[in-house]
Amino acid sequence: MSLGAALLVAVVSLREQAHRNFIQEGLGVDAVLGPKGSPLQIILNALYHLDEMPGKIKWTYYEAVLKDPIVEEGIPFITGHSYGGFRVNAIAERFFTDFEYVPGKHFSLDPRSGGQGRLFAARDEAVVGWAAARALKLRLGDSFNPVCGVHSGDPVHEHDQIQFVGIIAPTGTPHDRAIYIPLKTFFTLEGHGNEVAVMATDPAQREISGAYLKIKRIRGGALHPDIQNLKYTINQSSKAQCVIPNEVLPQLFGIIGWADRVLFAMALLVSLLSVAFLFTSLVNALRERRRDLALIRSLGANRCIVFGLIITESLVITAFSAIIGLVFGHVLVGLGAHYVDIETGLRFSAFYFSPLDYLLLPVMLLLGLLTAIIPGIQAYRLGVLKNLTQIS
Amino acid sequence: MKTYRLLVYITNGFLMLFWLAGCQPSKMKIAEDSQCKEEHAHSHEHGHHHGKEGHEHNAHHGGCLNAIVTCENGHAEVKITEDIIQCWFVGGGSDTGKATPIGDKSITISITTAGSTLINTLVLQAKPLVLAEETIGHCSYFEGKAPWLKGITTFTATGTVQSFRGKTVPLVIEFPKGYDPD
Repeated sequence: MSLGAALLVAVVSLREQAHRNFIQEGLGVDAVLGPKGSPLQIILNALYHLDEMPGKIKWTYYEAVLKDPIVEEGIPFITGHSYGGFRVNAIAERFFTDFEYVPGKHFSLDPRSGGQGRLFAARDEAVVGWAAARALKLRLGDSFNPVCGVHSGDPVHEHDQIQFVGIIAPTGTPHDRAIYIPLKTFFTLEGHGNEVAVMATDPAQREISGAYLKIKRIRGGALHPDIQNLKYTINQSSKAQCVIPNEVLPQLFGIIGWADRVLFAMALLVSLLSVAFLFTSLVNALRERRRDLALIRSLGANRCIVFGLIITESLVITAFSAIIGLVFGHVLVGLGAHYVDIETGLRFSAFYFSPLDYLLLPVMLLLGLLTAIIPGIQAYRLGVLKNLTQIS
Repeated sequence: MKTYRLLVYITNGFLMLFWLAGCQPSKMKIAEDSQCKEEHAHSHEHGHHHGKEGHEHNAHHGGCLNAIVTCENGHAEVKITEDIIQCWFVGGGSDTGKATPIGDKSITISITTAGSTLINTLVLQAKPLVLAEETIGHCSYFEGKAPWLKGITTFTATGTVQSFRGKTVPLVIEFPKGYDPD
């Protein structure tokens, strides 16, 4: 029973935390301006530093989007480099000052929050997310050569040494797993060729991977309703598309949601089978102990007490199972959270309490009560004389 | 034996309950639906009943869809906001999310409001969507403004589009229910 309860607790906790992590208001991004291609691919690359961007967009087009009345701000970025398995993204500096990765929260390099150092100020400087720094054992002053690509075997910019000057405080988002360099550094990395180098000084030639867009709010903090018009208009263009994370991510969950439903079903089945086994063991135990119960009856206990003994036994078993299952379930979440953090940068907490945690004990007690009714009735109807008969 | 039979019945009963429990709306759908409660800020498209029966197409701007000759040919999505009529020319069939630029620089429509025999004339001017790389003469969005439009909630309008997919076609608008001759 404990195992079933633990599985239920772990599955529900992980599912709810995953939902919250992926959906948390699009990780601070109202919309992503990106190239034509798969919207899901754009979101995975822009927000989760996975996969690759399907193309580039013109800087001039990005500036035209910024002029739309409902666009409050845009933060351009370029992806496509890596180091030590972590993505190296070129980004505008105001990403660290203006961008709210969750509402009300900005990136911090403050040592009191777990950060170190400062923002990059020169071409050959970088800041790194907390999880990437820990995994690569980075310290301030360390330097690296970015890899031109995200696959093993991709060429290295051997003549471009970039120094880490800041470590961002933990945010609990995939941004903890990225390395950031100045936007213009991308254009001046050796090996990119003249057509890329000229982008540093000529906006008409410049291309970027995409931009995070912040949309104006209306009363109540709701997104401006014309965001759909903006998305419609941009998507008519042959050059770019506008992707709204909160529209794409539920589709992703719809695709993979079956996996957690299967896990939940398996955990539920284990729990129900354990209840069935409890019933069997109570019935068998009653058969073994009928003489003892008859003895108790003969000593003065009435039928209700005997009935109550069986019920209490079941309730105690289920209560202990629920408590042990609850604790074990959170331990499982804690163990799983460690590996998820390593792989995705998303933080899961063993101390997250879902509504199931509060319902587990009462529901299991109820199941224990229901399970014990039939054995209880059998005990209630136990014949004293018949069961005290000497067994020869 | 009796006990085991009982156990089998109970287990089957739990399995049946568990199977029925699986037939519940997913939490994700509930989360999606709950977004509809935000005032004006829901991020899915409006589905509007196009015409009298049957088929539905999405009006991406929250307006009403009016077939250009036939539903498969194309639509004019029309919306009225205070004293402005907005008109988007979009694709036919289910392609109502795709803009269909036309060559007209302006479209003159004659408007009749409910309960009135008075015919008003309004000129819809082309307003190219810059981000969609449109220009005058290759434009899918038109706008017309007049003070007498304020407060109007129902109207019928007719006009002519000179260059819709290279052809001259009649424009019929029935607001708010939409026009579908099919």
